[in-house]
Amino acid sequence: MHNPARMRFRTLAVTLAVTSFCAVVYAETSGELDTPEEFDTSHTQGPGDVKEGYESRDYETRSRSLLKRRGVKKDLIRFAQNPPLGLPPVPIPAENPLTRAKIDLGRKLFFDRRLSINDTFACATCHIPEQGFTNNEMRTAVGVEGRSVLRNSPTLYNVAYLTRLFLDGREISLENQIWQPMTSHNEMAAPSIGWIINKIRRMRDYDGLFEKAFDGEEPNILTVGQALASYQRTLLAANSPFDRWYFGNQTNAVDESVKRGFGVFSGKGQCIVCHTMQKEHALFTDEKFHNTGLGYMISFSKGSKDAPKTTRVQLAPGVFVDVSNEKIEAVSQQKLPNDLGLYRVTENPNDRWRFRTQSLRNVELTAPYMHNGKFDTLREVIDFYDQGGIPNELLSPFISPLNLSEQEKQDLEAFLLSLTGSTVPEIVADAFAAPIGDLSLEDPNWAHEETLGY
Amino acid sequence: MDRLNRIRALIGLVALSLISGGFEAVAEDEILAPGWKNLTYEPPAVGSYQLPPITNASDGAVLLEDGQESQLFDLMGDRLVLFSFIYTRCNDINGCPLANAVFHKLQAKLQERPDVAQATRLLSISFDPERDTPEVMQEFGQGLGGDGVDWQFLTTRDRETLEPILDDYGQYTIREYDESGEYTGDFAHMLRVFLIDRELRVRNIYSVAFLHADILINDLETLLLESPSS
Amino acid sequence: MRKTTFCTGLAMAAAMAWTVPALADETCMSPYIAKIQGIEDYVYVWTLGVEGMGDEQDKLVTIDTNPESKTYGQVVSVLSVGGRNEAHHSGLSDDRHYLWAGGLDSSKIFVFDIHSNPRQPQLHKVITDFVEKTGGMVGPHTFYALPGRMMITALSNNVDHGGRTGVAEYNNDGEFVASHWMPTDEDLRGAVKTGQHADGYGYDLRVKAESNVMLTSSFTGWSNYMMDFGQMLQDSTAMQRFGNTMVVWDMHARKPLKVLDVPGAPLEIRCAWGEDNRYCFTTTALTSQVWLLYEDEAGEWHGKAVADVGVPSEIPLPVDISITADDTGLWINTFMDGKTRFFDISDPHAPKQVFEEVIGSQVNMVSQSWDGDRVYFSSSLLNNWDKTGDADEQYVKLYHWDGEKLAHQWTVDFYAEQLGRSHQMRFGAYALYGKRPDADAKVAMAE
Repeated sequence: MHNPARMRFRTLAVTLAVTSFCAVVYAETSGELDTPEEFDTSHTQGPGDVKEGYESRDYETRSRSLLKRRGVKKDLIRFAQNPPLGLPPVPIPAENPLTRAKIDLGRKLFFDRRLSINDTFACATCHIPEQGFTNNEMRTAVGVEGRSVLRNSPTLYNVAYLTRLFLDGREISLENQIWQPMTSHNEMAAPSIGWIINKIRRMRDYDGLFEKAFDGEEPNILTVGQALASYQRTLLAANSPFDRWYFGNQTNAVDESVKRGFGVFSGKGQCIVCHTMQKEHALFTDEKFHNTGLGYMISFSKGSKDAPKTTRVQLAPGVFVDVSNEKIEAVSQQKLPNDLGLYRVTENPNDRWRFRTQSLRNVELTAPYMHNGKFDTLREVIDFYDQGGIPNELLSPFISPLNLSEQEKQDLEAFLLSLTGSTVPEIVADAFAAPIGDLSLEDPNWAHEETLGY
Repeated sequence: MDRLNRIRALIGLVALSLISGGFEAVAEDEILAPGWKNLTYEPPAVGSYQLPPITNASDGAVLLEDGQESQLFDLMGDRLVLFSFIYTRCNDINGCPLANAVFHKLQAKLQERPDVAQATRLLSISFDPERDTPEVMQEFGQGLGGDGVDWQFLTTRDRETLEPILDDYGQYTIREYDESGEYTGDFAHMLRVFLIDRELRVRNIYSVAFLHADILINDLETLLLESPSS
Repeated sequence: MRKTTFCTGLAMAAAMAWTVPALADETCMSPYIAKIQGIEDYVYVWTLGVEGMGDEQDKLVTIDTNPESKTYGQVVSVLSVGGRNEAHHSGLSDDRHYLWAGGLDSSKIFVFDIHSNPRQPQLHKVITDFVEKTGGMVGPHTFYALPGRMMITALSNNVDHGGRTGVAEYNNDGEFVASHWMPTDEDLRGAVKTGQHADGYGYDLRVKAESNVMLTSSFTGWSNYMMDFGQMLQDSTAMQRFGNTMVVWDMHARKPLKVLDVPGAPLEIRCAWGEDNRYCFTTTALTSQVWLLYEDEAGEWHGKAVADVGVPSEIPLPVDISITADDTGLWINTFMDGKTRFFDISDPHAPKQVFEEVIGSQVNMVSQSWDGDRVYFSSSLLNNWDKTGDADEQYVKLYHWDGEKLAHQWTVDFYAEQLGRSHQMRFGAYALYGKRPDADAKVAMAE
């Protein structure tokens, strides 16, 4: 119990339990299991609100209990010190050496909804642990006040290795990157970096945590980023069945379909050209920017004469209607710019609709796919590349029709599904145990005794 | 049931609304609240549910039937308490008479359950200290109270002493006036009966729609199943 | 002077639910609260702030509804509360001294004092820690008064912003009492899953005390109700996340008994007032059906679709509903076509639409007086779901209803007055507090 924040949470729960029944319910939701051996991994892979098969009238719910979504604190630093099979050593910036205190603090910040302007939005709101540290429940993200965001939330697994962050590559380090979602008007909408720092300094449950993690330093423009980056660097999901077969030489770690699928991936499918591998490890991304035509298509589909006049909308299991796009337009308030990808960063017309290659690791957990969440299933993604993407003058030269057979497609999908890291349950269990930072009466707020001090 | 008849005798006429400003007076055919009748559902079994603490009970200076001064907290804490606000002139059948009648029915049940009765106290306090003196309350209580059940009829020295109690228990009262602006002696108020545990916490609040002797006895028994420090 | 009846006056409050109709009141609230006799003096409108309009924040707008008043049909006070909280529903405390109004986004609850000066409500308390206190519920929605308490349904949760949620219980001082989580497959909490669904979602709540039954319905989580409506309709993943259930609870024990399949997002619940009318209605927003929830002779509750609202394939989107005091009529608003529809529900198993009229380019809430003579309409559904451009009319309109037709009385244009988007309406009256209207009105006029 070296984390004062957790201790405070426990103490509060105990106090309440003495005074009332209802507090028992409350205490149960504090996240961390009292008896870690009780932990079962059924909550860790996939949304708790299971919608598989929802298209059909026969759909049956398999919803999980929020009260049972509880975890166990894990020692995440060992993943970074000794990455799971299939991952290279983790690059750690010299100015931000990884420590347990920083990871704990970053984890606390990551789940803190108070870091947004109206106390509603944490990093974890779009990067949901059991949903692959992305959001499986919507195609493109929404931020504070429901403001639309252009893109699908990316997974944070193995983000430690990226040198170009965001799908247009506009950031260069995790330490820097964190400020953008926190201050973007359509994400967490904090008014400024200083506002966030001031607020953290005034939240009593952070007292002493930064000083302890950063040699006496307060929350500031460096330490907040360093703490959050430290936590994210430990989200290392590998040692998948594929890794155990390919890098670990365990012949039986995967079945024959996966092995054939790997053949398609690295051969006829040409996937490996962008989703690259090294001899002893693989990130399955070249971190370069490519035009698949998807962004091009979306940019020009609106208002095109050939565009469909209706959209199929599901109303209930097995119940669909075709709704006129006019009707949909009448209730579309938020007009977003077209997503031109890398062009937004360079203004080079040749960079239109180029997006950074995403890693294939853990794709089983990160639906929907592509920069805009266009596809629900891996099979749709495979079909998209099989047809050669969407032709346009800037289409990546690496993309062309593949003519994959049905068997090859199935094998390719089996291969992709073999890339789910065995460390996922542990990382998610740890995330479940993290306290969620919700506004309490001790926190600064205009309606409280403690204010932001303006 | 002589006593029940006596309560009914207290009820008197249903008041007509006396509205100036163009509104018609409306006579109302009263429908009896559920507390007068049998429940039409099976109440949840004793001990099968929890009654989470709602708020803390409040203290206040009161007068006992013999005129002695006392504090509410002298009458709470050692037993479970059902606490009801009434006034003796009240004649709305679904108001104070309902509270009294339900307590009276409960009393009959408690007489068959001495173990529960011994751990329970019924308190009926007046919000009309001007008229409801200790003597009036005593006389009123004699018509209702029965053997083996601790049912006390309280009042207060004056309105100033009463007000903080009414405030603490959220018992807003409005004096009723007739057409000529004369105070009729009646109060508009919202019926609330409080269940207070031995740790001075309010564990249930009953209004007209929910006040019923079968529920009260189950709630009392449910609380008695709790260990004292729960 | 307007005045409450009864000797024990407000004691009646609750009692009124069991007695004959009083003269006036909206019929959409808990029967366990004080009721207004005579015409309501004010309607309180919980209003969403709009970026780029006025002070841009949520506010409680008070409209004078006393036809004898000089300011009849006008806005007489505006109380800004800070933030765009996704102002949605509101509910009166059992003693009707306070109006609780929730923010579906911020999860803040604003408690307004409406008794000290009914013409000019004051902000009495802001509950900021609903999510923390409830153990993770997000989006306080329905405020349903019970004796000395407020039942508050939530729509979402703080872990995935999806639809799994619960019901919170607060005391009248605004203090947390208990959390009651909706049943899920993994933890049905003793309830029986009667069909295919136990999604754990929440929306509205009503109590049928004579049956010891509490009913809850189901909508969708934060991710959807905050999402741009057009974006959501095109997001087939998001569209899979609507509620398909209603839950029957043991009211006294606060325990779920049965999960019923009611597909297509059952929203508002209105229970019959009559003691022997053991049934309630809801409408499904997406599938546009009227559902009857009813108790059979053995005391078991069931649900069945009993009518369509408009042409379901056109998604008229039934939103607010209001049942008449005599249980014979049900107003149903449909957002997309801006219509109100009146259904004859004399036979609850076979409701029939007998009237319809377009109220505006969009319509959401409906509140009728207890005598049914006055029907108020407002326009906003959700901040990111309302229509765009000229179709984004924002108003409160009063109509008189004679049983056959609606007669328009007045409109307050919420955009012309730079107020924002008008959502839920609740009634206020001096008589509840033994007050005369003149005192406050004079003060207000002097100001």
